Amino acid sequence: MMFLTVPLALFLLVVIQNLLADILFLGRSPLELSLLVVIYLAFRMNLVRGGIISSFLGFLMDCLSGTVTGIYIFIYFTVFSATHYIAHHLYGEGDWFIIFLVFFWGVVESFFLLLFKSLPTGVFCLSKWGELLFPQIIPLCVLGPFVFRALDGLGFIYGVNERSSERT
Amino acid sequence: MIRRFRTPIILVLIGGFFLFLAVYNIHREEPTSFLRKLIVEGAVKLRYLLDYPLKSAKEAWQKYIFLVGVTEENKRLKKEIDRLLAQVANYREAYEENKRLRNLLKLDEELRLKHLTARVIGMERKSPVKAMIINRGSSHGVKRNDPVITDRGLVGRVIEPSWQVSRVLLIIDETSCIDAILQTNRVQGIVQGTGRGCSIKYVGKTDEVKVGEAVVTAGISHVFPKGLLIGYVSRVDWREGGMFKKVEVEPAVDFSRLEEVMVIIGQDERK
Repeated sequence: MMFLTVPLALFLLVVIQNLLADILFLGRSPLELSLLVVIYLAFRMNLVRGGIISSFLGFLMDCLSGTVTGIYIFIYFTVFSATHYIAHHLYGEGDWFIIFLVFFWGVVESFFLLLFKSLPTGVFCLSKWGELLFPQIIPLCVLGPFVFRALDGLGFIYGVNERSSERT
Repeated sequence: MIRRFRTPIILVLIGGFFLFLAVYNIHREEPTSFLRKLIVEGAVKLRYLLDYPLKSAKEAWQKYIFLVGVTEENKRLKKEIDRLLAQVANYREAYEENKRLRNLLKLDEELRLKHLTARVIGMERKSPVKAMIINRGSSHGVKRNDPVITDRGLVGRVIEPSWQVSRVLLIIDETSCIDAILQTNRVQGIVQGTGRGCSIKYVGKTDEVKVGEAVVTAGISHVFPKGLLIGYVSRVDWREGGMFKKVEVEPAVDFSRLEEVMVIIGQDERK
């Protein structure tokens, strides 16, 4: 059942986040809730299932944002793996820690997006980094702790609290 | 030792594979995969469904709440219609004259501009790839690299044709490069997107470029037909000692107001 509902839920998430960005920011800024979900999964899910889900979410983002297949898959897989490692060694889960992680991965993600984009043209424009980064990173940082709580409430449906039980 | 680092090694290998996949796909020009098409088509349909109640609410708001001032607006619009009708008559006259002249020159207009009209159903100006979605796909004859234009000028080219919809790369995207020529002094260069507008690369320091000059497609690469308006020169800059001038171009098309576009099809026939 999970293999059927999870891809559908992720698909819905990616479509809805674009719709929300259009409503809230009038299409002037993206709202990448999927990045928050990947970070959340790194805290709550085991490596195999979380890795597969993050990669699939990356694939959906590649399809719907128009980037070539592999860019978001790589970014989300990296974000998931590294956050999973951090979450395994640091037992911090406070709001500020989440905000810091979201900010950090937002910076890394936009860097990689610019890097991949500069590959065909050979020009890496660092000034674009700020343009790409700040309009979307600040709303994500603010939303981060709330999304974590909301997903904790929904988490039992997909059994995403595997990691919490691993720790205790 | 290896057992201890087994998990990180596997993760790095998988990550490396995904990185390789991304870099490989960047340099590859393959047709859009079935799964990608399926996801894009599904997302467009779902988005349409989700948009419907929002649009209905917006329309109801506009109809019933903003009724004040409608009479004035109506009068103004009627005047505007009269003025535009007169303008259209003038344009039609010029168009007919143009057609007669083309016939005289034995130019086959149909072959040069075989096109489809498409509606813009999604705009992604703030996503990593500045693109838009149109409601025409491969089932309508749209192919990769088909140029997309409006009556004002060039919009971009199709980068991802699906069955019923296609993704169009806007000329303002940083990865968009077009062979261009300045209309009056015939200086050639490459128009590249800058995110918000465009700039012309490789304009020599001795080339004379004036602000306000029209920039059109050169038609060298066979992707875009020759003579399509790209935009107008908005700024010219040259630094002492530099080989090239920095020329900024304001696109002729206002991307925030795009509703209908034309896709020029039959590229292969032209080639």
